[in-house]
Amino acid sequence: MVSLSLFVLVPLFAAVFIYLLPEKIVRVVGLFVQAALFAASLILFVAVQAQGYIEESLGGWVVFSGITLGVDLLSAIMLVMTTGLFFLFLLYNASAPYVRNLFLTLFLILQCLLSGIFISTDLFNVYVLIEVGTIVVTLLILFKQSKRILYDGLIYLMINIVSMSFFLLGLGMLYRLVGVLDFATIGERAAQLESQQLILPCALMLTAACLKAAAFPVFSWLPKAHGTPGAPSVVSAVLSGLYVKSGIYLILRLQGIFAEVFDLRPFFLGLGLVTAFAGIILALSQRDIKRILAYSTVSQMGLILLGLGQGTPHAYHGALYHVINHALFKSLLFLVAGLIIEVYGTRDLHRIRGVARKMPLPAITAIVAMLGVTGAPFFNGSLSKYLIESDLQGSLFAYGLIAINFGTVLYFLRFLSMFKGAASQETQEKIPLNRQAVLVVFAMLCLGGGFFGSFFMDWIFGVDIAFPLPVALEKGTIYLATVAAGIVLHRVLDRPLTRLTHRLQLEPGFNEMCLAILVLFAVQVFYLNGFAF
Amino acid sequence: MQWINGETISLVLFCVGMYGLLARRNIIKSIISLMILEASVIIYFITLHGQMDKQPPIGDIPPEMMVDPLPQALMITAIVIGISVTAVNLTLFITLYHRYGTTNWYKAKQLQRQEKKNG
Amino acid sequence: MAEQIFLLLLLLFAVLALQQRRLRVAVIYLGVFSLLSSIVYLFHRAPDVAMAEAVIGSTIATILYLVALRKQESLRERTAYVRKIREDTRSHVFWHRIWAALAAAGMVFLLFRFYPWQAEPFPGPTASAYFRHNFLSDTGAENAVTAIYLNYRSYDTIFETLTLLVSVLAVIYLSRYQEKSNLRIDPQPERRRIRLHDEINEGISDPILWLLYPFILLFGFYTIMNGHLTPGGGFQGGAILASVLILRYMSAPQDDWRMHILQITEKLMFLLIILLPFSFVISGWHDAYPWLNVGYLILLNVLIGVKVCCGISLIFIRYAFYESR
Repeated sequence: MVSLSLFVLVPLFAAVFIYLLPEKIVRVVGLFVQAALFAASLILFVAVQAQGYIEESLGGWVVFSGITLGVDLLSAIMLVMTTGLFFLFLLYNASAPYVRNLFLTLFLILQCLLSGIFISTDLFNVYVLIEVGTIVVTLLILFKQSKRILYDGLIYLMINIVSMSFFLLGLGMLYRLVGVLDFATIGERAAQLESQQLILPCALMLTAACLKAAAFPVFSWLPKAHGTPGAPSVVSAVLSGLYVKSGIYLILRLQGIFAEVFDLRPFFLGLGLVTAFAGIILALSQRDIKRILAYSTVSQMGLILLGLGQGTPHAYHGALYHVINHALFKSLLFLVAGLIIEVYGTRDLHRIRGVARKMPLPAITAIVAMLGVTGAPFFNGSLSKYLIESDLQGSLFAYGLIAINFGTVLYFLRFLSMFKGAASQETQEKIPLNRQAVLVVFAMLCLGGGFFGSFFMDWIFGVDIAFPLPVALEKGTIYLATVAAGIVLHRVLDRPLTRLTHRLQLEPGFNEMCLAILVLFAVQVFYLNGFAF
Repeated sequence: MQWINGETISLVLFCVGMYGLLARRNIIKSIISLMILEASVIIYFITLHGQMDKQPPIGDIPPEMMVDPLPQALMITAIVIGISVTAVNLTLFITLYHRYGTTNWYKAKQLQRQEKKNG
Repeated sequence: MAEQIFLLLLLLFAVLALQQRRLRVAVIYLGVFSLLSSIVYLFHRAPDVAMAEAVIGSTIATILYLVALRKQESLRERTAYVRKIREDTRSHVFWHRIWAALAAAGMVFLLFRFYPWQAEPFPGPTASAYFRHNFLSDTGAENAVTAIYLNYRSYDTIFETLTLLVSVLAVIYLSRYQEKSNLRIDPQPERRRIRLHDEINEGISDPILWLLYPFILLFGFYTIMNGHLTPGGGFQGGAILASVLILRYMSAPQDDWRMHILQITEKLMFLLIILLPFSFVISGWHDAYPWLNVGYLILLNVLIGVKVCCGISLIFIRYAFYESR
């Protein structure tokens, strides 16, 4: 039997090997390796669907002494997503001038680390992988030397290391109580302990996971990292599409470990709602197109947390499907944004006009992505959003969700304003074929995820989701009403709204971000102790 | 007096490191506080069990007399990670200083914003 | 009793390092803090960790900080600082410290209030018990810690060495600054190396170094190769060996070929570090050929040692001795 560790070790080996190879063949080698990995992950996915859970104890040692790799359905899905998206990104970048040995090495190392996080069942292993990932991402977001913003990079690095120190302390406390390091055994043993003892480990580790998943109030690093000009567009796409999802994955695993001890769902419900609103408000105040997309990521992460916080199977699957969908449409949007910035030379929303005429294909794909993210009928976003809100009917949260959708429509309408009008030079920009192909693939997946949504839900998750016609019509009308209201509001209130939200915009410094981490930690302890100190 | 043991002191050190991160506006001080933070967690791991009457995990000694070797192996990893991160942090700091000429977080932020406004 | 004194000293030096206004002194206090923590590890019967902390944490980290401060000063001396920004007022700083102290106090309260003081070790099989009983028979190492990170958890060790590799890449790549600066730096084209090198060169003379090298090399190799029998191992020994390369570079700098060779060696060693545990441990050959166990340990320790040596030397050479490139 082939070892699961190959998913991690093969890209790692290839990455470092590529660094030593001559420049001419590195891109081909990289693409080839990535394609092979994608095929392998699909095979693994099918195998996991058949067997349920595949486990491998590295070295054949007893389960809690060595490191065990375990792949369940969630891990297999994330693995397929990782390898597939990285393949598309490598294809997209095959002709870019900065893609030489160093970039490919770092990119493939990032892929190996993400795969490693998704298949590992050992908490310390996850810690090491995330730490290395932090350094790699810091280097990647400062990659373009002439445009890099060092302040962003330094803040990103330091905040993430602080949060991982919290994680490690929580891990130490947990180890002291249970004596093992792997998820399953810890989960079993935690159930036998008193919940009072587990408050601190849970809170510490969850704080770190929430920071990685860009929850409120610790999301401030994300716009800096994902929206920075020093990052190539592919890197921003990877970060928003995949890397931030590793935080959600970590939250899910931690929730699984502490499932018998604490009920975290109401906490995530509230956290998700606040995060989503915070993301929307801040997205409305931005003029930098990459920052709008970054704040949009924050608000979508809030939406996913909302889905996870309900605990019902519908909402859970909706949230997971939204993880996949968000990866698709956000990556597409970042890639198009990168193209726009390259062609127009500016990142300011108000200065860019006429994208639809200058670059028709990217414009069309971007509009497809925007329809997806706002939840237009027949696009993938609508199915996942429907699932997330299906169990919330009638409660306050349902109205919250409508407000969130409305906010999403609002800031994407601002984004859309770039496409209208005429550009300064009317000549159409020539986009290389590989980039066009990748953009089209993403757009087709966005569309296909909605059209064939039921089929995908069945194939991926094995659940039967019915999207009956009357519901679809109802959702469709709500969507059109939201868009109409959004257009009206946009026409009337855009400038004053921008000024208002600009006032609300906080740009926290490093000290304030650390305070935010502490506050989140305190709130969690408060919650876990039953709303008491 | 027995409440002065490794666990308590490492928790206090963790908070000292947090204070440094919260209060110090100088970037190098923040990096120093980060190192104190990481060191406190390492001390916590090593002094977890509080068994100072046992023997180091080397050689052929009965298992009951041996100290727990797992945290030690994990913490060697943590030390190496700590030094790698420190090296990258300091390099970024030097490059930042070269660019902005300041060692203060807030001034660097202002300068960066000015640069962004100037295009 | 002695341990408690050292713990209190630890706390003292940590607070001193934060409070000290002169950064050089603060960094020295940090170095003392690291050394004291190394001694505390000895009290808790962790000689491997103590060695690692003493060599890597106390020595190398302190030198990195000092070099950073030196570079900052040298940049500041040659420039005129452009003052266009708002200064911190005294009340600003005062209230900042107040809320920070309150937050830190709140954290102390939370940690101590909810900490499970009376927890007993879990009644059931633990990883620790398994390791303590079986490490010698399973892996052939007499040092349990080495057995864990080279055999049981070798998968983790691969990523540990990856961390160093990535940080070397980061240090090299991020210390290239060609863009404009807020400092008006006088151009000094003929002096590509920082004055630090020249100062040290005057102080150290070659015969003394040639006397030192064999001892350091011997000690380094001994630590690496005997890591499975005594406290030590690839990481600690590699850091010791790095000091030789750094000294050699300081006295006779011939930059490019040395850096280039170190980089290639480091990557090659890392490739071998991936292959060796994968083929031996992960694929299960260690069950088939248990007599190769000790050889595997020594070989992996040597690979790690060489790689760590290359990595740390690269960080120093690139970081300490190069100006903008």
